[in-house]
Amino acid sequence: MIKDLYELDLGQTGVITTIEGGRRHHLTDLGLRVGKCVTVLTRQPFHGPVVIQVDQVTLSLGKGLAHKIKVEVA
Amino acid sequence: MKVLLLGHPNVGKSVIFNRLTGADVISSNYPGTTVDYKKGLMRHKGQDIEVIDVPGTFSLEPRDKAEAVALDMLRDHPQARIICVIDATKLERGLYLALDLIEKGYAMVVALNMWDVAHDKNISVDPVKLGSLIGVPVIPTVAVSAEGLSTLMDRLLAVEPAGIAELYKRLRLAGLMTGTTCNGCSGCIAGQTCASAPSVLSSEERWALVEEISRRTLTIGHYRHTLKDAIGDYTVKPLTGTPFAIAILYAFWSIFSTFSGLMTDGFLGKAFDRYWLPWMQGWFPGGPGTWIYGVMVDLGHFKDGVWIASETCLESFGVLTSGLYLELGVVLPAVFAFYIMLALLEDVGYLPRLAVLMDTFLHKIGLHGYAIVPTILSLGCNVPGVEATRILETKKQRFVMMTILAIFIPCGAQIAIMQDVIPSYTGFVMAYLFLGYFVFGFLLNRIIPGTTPDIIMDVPVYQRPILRDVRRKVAMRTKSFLKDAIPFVTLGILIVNILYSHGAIDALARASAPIFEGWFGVPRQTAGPLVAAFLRKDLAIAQLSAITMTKYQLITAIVLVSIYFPCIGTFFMMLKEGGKAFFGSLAVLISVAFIWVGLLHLVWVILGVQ
Repeated sequence: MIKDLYELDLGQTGVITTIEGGRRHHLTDLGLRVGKCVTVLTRQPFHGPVVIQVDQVTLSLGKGLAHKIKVEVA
Repeated sequence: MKVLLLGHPNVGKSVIFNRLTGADVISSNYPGTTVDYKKGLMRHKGQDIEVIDVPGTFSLEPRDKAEAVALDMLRDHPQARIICVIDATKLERGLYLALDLIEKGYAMVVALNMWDVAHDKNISVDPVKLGSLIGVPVIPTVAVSAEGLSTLMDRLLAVEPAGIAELYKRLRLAGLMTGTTCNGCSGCIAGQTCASAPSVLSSEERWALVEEISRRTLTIGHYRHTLKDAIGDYTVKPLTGTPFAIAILYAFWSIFSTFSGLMTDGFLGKAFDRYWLPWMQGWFPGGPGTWIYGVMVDLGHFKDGVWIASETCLESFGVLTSGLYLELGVVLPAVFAFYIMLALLEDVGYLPRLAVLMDTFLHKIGLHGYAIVPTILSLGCNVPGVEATRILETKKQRFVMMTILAIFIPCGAQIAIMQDVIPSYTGFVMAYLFLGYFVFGFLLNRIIPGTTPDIIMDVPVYQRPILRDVRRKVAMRTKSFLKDAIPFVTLGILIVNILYSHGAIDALARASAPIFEGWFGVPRQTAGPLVAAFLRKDLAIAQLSAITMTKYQLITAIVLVSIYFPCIGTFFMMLKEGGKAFFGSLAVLISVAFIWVGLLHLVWVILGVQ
């Protein structure tokens, strides 16, 4: 099932299928790219950012960006 | 020989720089500590080497002003050798940048830094194999303990530029080029330089290579989560992280005020008032009533035509009494305490977590979570705070941040003096300023065109602070405080005294009386301290306390001093960082001073206290 990264449950892992939007390259440079396993660690309330884990990298991403990343969930 | 330290943010470039050159640049555990380049000299094996530390960059395409500095340095020094610093726990993304640099033909070595952290996490990289695959020396390093740095420099002296053709040959020989653009020319197969190598790889091709290379060189073993990881998680989760953040900030404030209060009221204040002042009054040439004595030691005051000596340093207004007391007796202990705690928070790696927790609120004022870094730095001194706005991505963000920082964030020196002269109302003044920060941030966000991108930020793992680095950082910041404070406070007292004695301040006070008394509701004599405030705001607040007025007027006057104009250091940093936008900031600043201070006056009028 394909989901928005933002919609993953806390602790849930998915494989990135697409990254949309103009800042794709920046995300890629940070290690976030298609085919990578990503886990959502926390989500801040009031439309706040998520904190995710990709390999050894822990990243914080704003909500809008997290919506642009689609992941495949088993 | 010139050497550039290049790499992602927060991989330890500045620590390597300090260890190599023996210099002191600020290093912390969050991305974006270094926003400008720094040069240092070292000698290795009889060679004089100039090392340049630059801001971290994620790629060779700049995304903010700090990254642009790094890439400008790279462009300006095409002959420089490069130390590409990679976080060994984040091999893939570091390798991507390293490959990009190799392809462009730079002579470089790779420092696989944080080797100890990788070891703790059961991550191992084969440096020899990695080196032979990419054709540049790869040296494991632990910057904080200088491990591997000597080998790194040995190899750097011997290194030759490789370039993409050489890279291709190696990868082809290792059987790594299948599925990429090299069409298998005879040159590669014969072990010669590849003839069909393209001039540059596409991003997809480079990532495919990175994955192949890391598959062959990287082993990730089983890793058990430690207490440190658990704390890392709990301090960023909203339910547990928010109370923790409040506790941390509260602790920060209470340690700051307790320590500075204890030092000033309990010790230094008494020493200055009981011993220093009478001693100076006793021997200083000229004697009471002369100009030089008044400016340097004690201005005193006249009662019924009789000159009366001051009893405290605060009232004396002399350069050597008031000036030294303010800076050494009041502000120094406070900024010292502030910088110790700031250094601990920075080096542990807490600030990025605070940024995540604050992101939502800061979005409402046209910023994102990362704005917490310039804001907290500004509470120490506005100058590095304004400089740190470089790490924000858009012009709009930088403008909003710079403007509200300069207007509403009081610096440590100012807070320390407030604690001394209005201890019971400092909290109120700070709250009124922070409220202004959000109100005008919110308005500016609506008015200023432009966008605020979402936050993208690395959240580093917590590190145990290294005592030596904390000590050096505190010493460096304290020194830089003293270097500015003493001359400017001296200058401030001199100028104000000269202006007073020539009647200039009285004339100014008379001319601006309608504004001060009508609009702001403060005595017209406030004009004097406002002149001093341009040089040192702490001095201005001390001078305010000598003017007769009600406590409400004093609160208004202190708010006015805080926001009416940046101090001279901040002024020039804003000019440097903001360029043309600075004049916009200044316009906002002046209107905000009228609105926000006038509003406070209105509150007092409505409450019936004025």
